[in-house]
Amino acid sequence: MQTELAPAYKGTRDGEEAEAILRKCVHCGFCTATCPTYQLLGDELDGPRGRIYLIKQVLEGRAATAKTQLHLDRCLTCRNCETTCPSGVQYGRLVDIGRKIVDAQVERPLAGRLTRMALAKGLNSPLFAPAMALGQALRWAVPASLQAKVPQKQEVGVRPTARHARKMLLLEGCVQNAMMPNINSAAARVLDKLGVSLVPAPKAGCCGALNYHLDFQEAGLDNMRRNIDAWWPMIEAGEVEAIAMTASGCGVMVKEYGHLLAYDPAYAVKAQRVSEMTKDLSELALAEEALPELLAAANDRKVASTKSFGDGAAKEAVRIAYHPPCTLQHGQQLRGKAEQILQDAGFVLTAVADSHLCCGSAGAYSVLNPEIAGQLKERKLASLEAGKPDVICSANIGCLTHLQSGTGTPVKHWVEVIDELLSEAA
Amino acid sequence: MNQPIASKFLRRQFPAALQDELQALLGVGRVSTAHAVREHHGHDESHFPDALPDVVVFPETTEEVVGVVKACAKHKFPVIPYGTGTSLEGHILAIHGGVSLDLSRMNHVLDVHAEDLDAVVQAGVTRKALNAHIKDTGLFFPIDPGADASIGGMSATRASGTAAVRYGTMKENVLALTVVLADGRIVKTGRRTKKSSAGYDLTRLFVGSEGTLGVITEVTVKLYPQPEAMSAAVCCFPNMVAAANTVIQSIQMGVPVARCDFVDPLCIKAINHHSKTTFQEKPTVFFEFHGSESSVKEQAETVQAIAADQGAEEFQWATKPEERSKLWQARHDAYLACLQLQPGSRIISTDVCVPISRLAECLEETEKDITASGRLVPVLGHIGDGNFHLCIIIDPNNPDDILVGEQMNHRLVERAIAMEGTCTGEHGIGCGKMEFMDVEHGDGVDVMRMIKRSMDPDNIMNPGKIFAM
Repeated sequence: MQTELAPAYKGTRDGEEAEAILRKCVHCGFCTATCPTYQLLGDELDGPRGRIYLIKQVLEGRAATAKTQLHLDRCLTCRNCETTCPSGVQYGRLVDIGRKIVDAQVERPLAGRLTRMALAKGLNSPLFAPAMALGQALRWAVPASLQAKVPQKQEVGVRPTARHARKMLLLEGCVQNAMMPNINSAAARVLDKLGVSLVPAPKAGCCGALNYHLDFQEAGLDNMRRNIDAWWPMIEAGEVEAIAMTASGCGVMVKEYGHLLAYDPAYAVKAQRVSEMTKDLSELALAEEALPELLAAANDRKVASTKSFGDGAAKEAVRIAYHPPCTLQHGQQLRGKAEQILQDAGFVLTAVADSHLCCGSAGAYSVLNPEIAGQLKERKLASLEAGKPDVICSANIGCLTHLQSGTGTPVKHWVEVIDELLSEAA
Repeated sequence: MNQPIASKFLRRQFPAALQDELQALLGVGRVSTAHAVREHHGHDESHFPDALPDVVVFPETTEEVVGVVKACAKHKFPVIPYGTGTSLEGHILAIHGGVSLDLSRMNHVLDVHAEDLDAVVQAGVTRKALNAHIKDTGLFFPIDPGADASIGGMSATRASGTAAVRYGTMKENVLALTVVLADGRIVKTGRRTKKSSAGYDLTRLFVGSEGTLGVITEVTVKLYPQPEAMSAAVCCFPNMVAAANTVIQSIQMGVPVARCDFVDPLCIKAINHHSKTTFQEKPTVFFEFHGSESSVKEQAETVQAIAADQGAEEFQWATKPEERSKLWQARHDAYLACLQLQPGSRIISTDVCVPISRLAECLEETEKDITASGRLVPVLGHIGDGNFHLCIIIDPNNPDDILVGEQMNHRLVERAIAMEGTCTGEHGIGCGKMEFMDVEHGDGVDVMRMIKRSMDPDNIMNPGKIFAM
């Protein structure tokens, strides 16, 4: 697509990057057909191609309006369109740039600004965990609108000590440890059985995605620098072989550190290295040669049906409906890995229609656009539950809590299920 | 002369009252003047400069289309029907300004008569949507132009594609139409019968009319039983002529090949790069055979024997549905793949079609022309029909580049017409091939003008396309 950058953007880093991305677009519309918000709303401007036109228009010097902002806000950033695009248009990067430019031109109403601020800062805050604990203790008193966002308190189990020579860093994340703390400890137990110890870096925190995607791109970059500082000593000393991600939403962000900090001379090289070392848990587990044996052994003992799966306990094999998070299948272009692990472990994966579509969680999206997020959740749960699963599994904290808020079927991280299986078999 | 005219002086003044009338008719939400929406409706897959409509409307019923057309007729303001915007000759460009009538919301399959092998669809239903809708009936709609075009748009362009060699083009596959005329009348042409001798064949008049005679709002199309067995194969040839001769002989022997598409080495390179496939970079024909298990085997053996005589390599088979889809998807994305050979470029897509006996000769001379030009010109085509395309890659900002590309197309069309061929097999005239109408049709163009004048005296239906008035 031909773009004539307006003087204000000519020669700027964002302008030039956007122009290079726009050049690849041949407006074929394959993206539009696959876009979840276009499927719901049917408006060209609520699909990637329409949004690309809007961004191009602003880059060419037309003033952005509140309407432009609305259409960009409605994008889930699921990047489903990137998977579909035959021309390799990096829509995710483009929409980040577009949002930044539009937000600089169009001031949001006060209420919107406050909500975004509250989300970016609140979920990042050290007070989030105690607040969540309080909410869980007094769940009955929490207003109905928020109740869905407060998951039941989880049993966490014991985290193994760092006993192995092989070590990997674990990004603990921000909200995950408060909402579903068992995920990280389950990951630590599973990797421990594979001969790898997960070590935390206490000074690391949120990956930066919350700030970065909520109009606070500079604060997001600061989060990234802080994490790099926290990890660097162990990376430099060669003590860790990878940085493990148990939430794919964080994983996709950390894998982009290298790109986003490429122009920061103090961090460019380190950020690149960090991104290269970052792996989703499914990548790491599947790369371990000991995994098939471990799973086969557990499977042999016919324990693939275990306690917490409700009525499914009596069945031969537990049926799992797997929802691949967008940040994993589209953002990181990783498909089939968690599914393979679950299948190797003897679980039956049910067929799920439209598994390429977003569940509507999309980070803070479900709070900012509850109506669209709710409709997408209903559709997603209908296709997940069509195969009558005992458990729904996914790989990202956002999807897990969002889906759980709409169903009685347990929704778990796949590593929790594997952990339960291995613990039972032990 | 019948030259395309595109100038800002042609644009008619957008009557202010018309927008209010359209909004009163459809509501504010389905009438858009947003620049991004107009820009999207102001260009297609051709290399022509954008020509934006003044407003885009999204009707949902034939009656709403009538309302829009009547409002436009009152103000003598152009109406440009729009399906999916995948036309290749600037068909949907609003060169006189106008109202872009986007039919994408008329996307309902109205009726499937499985026992009669036909379906009635609204114009905005795309071919893939129709096939998804009928997949459980054991039937399919075979016309496959590559792009997921709307059935209305395909009818209006008389489109075909990879499967035309076996199943024909839209000309053979449209049984009946509902059309809104320029004065707002609704006519239903044709019946659901296999044949009819009742008067002039109006269906065939509207098929290929490119929106210049009326707006197609409903289409009755033929369906076919899904064959018991299908297999696809890829075969490499030592050169383009050997590939063409294989296909010519297969057709002449009456082998009912379902698809046979030629792709040249440069195009294969683009496809491999784009679709991450690993085809050999040689002159290649993609074949597909439909029928019973035994007939597919027999067809394949015959074609293989002919190919071997021409020095071809062994067939590589794809028999599983997902392998076949992957293979044809790669072929269908060839246009997009070629664009990425030079990002930011556009393509002048030629579309000549010659009698099958002249195909090898036409290809051979064209190949010499390309070599002499020293340009990047991938060649591909539905050579079972005698139809092939050059993708002349040009820089849209460089007038010299465009001129050289157009001259190459000119020479090709002259060559094809001298061989009793046509300037366009399936893309249509739009505003891109208007200049060839006189030489191909002679006084026939005047007959077309007479028809146009009598049906659309104020020239509001997609003006400036097919021929200058």
